[in-house]
Amino acid sequence: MIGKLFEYFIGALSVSVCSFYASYRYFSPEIKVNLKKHTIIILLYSLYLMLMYFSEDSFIRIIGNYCLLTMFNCIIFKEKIYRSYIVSFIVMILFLLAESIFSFFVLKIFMINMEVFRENYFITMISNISITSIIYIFVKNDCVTNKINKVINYFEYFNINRLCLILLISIISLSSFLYGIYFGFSSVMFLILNIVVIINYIFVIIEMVFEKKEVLMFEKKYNDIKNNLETNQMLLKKEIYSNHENNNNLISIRGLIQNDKNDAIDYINSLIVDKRKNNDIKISNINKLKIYSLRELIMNKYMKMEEKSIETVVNIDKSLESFDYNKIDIELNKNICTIVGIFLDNAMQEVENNEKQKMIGIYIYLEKQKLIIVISNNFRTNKDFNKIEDDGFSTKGENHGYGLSIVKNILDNNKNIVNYKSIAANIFSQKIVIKF
Amino acid sequence: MVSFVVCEDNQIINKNIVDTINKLMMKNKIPYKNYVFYDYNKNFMKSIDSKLPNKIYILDIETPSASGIDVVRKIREHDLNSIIIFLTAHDELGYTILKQEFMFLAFICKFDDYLGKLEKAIKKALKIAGQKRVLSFSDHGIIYNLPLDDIIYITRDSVDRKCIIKTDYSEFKVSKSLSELFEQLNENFKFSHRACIVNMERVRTIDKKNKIITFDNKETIDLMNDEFKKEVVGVK
Repeated sequence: MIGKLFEYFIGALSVSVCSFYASYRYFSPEIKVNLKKHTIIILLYSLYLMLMYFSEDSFIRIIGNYCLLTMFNCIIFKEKIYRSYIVSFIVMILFLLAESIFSFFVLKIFMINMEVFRENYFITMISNISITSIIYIFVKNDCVTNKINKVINYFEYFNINRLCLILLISIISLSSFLYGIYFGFSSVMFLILNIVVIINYIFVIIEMVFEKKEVLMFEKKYNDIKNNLETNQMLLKKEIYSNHENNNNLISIRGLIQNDKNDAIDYINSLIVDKRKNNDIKISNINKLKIYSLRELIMNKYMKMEEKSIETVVNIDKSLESFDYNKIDIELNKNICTIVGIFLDNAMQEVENNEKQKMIGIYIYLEKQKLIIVISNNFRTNKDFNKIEDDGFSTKGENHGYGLSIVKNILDNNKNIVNYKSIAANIFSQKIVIKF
Repeated sequence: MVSFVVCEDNQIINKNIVDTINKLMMKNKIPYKNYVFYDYNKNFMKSIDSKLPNKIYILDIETPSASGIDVVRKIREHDLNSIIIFLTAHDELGYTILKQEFMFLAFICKFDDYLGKLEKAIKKALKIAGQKRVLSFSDHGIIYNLPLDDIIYITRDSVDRKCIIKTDYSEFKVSKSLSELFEQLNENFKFSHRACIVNMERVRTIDKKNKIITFDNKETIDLMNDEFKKEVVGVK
């Protein structure tokens, strides 16, 4: 009896030491060894493991083992509970993995019967020491340890309650499968286990779908903010440039006044019709638009047009001042922005390839309580307008033209949005009519 | 009879424009009438809809109540043939697209000898006033408005069974017959061949021997029948 207890104790002690060593590697703390406290904890954990050898119920063994290891990790390494929970889970998985490797060698390579393990406690001790040795090899490997540390850090971004539940169910189901292999499956147990695992993963999938939705929303918000930021940066750049130019002009005017006042007046007149003045007018014109998402989109595209030296006219009709913007719901707003974005991108790509002239016009107005948006651009010679309605057609080469297919799809599904195309001289116009 | 519709909020500039029109029309001895406005108000909007003969608009780009661009858009919705001259206080360069899209005759900057430029523009306008100026039709869901002056010739592609409208800036392949298009053209256009209509205003030389027509952009075609040769003898 004493010999059996001693063999149990040695096996449990090796598992206990190995568990804390693995935890130490994954926490990577600079802990001060408190010999008395740590020895007591290791002995307590070993004692628990030893007692569990007498228990036939694998579930209690596993859950108890997991909870106790989490608690002891918390005490020894002074870490937060959820972090201990994750590290303990990884340690448990390592044990399962090592046990699987060991079982494979014993059962398949050396062809030893499981009954021998049940009867011969010395072999149990040897097997425990072998399993802990396998884990030691794993844990000692810096490359594997670094990767596991990265995974642990990644887990910190998860919902803690959900993560704890998933880890607990995973550890039970994995261990149960392993014990099932050792001691044979009960059909009821197998059924329960399957149901638990299926529920667990359905839960995970549902959570992931919701999370994905949230991520997409955040992504959209992020893109909006990014676009706004880019627009503001460009405006700031223009302001800096403008200030610099104004300083230079003032210096020039001062010089001219000292010499001849008439020259100074001519110089001021030439500045009044300066191109920059027009830019300011266009920007203030765009700012009249109270559909904010569309305004930001047009502002952003306008800045890009300016960068690409595209001659632009933006005209927001005064009639829009009386328009009730509440008529435009989120979905309609999204569709309008998508269509306008695609038409503006197409117009920009078209004029960019035009060496002689680069011109784009944007007109927004109300007509009989319909919102009208017109985007015009000049086009290259011999453009085949007959094919413009075809899916994926583009004069810009392969992998282009799908924007217009998206527009077509929106128009097919929204009968209140109508698109008309027209050509006036060398200007191609896309007119979007939104009925309310 | 020519109808001048003037809208300019600045009283001095407005008076100068009217004086320029009067001075010029007195010399030409063409009957005319001025419709003068200081803002794009209701009366001005009525003048857009009224059937005044041979309208020549002289408009300000910006007045207190409305933008000239919005006004010109309303004009062009149902009237492609009236002549529009725009006066602007801003840089002309930015409005090239408007000039082409809305088919303005001229954009005149108020800071740069605007009365001299206005006189030239009115003279040009008087030459073309009352003429049909735009070929307008719809094809494959696209509405085409092509200024007749820009069209060089129109031919028939027997393979595609389409008409090719050759302009200064592009070729348009349309599913219309030559006779359908011819009905929409003015007297400057003639059939040089049963498969070709040419804009006589754009023809520079006609080589009757080799049957070659050369246009002002140096482009040539060899579609010429005997009937056309007979008709143009002594003309070109």
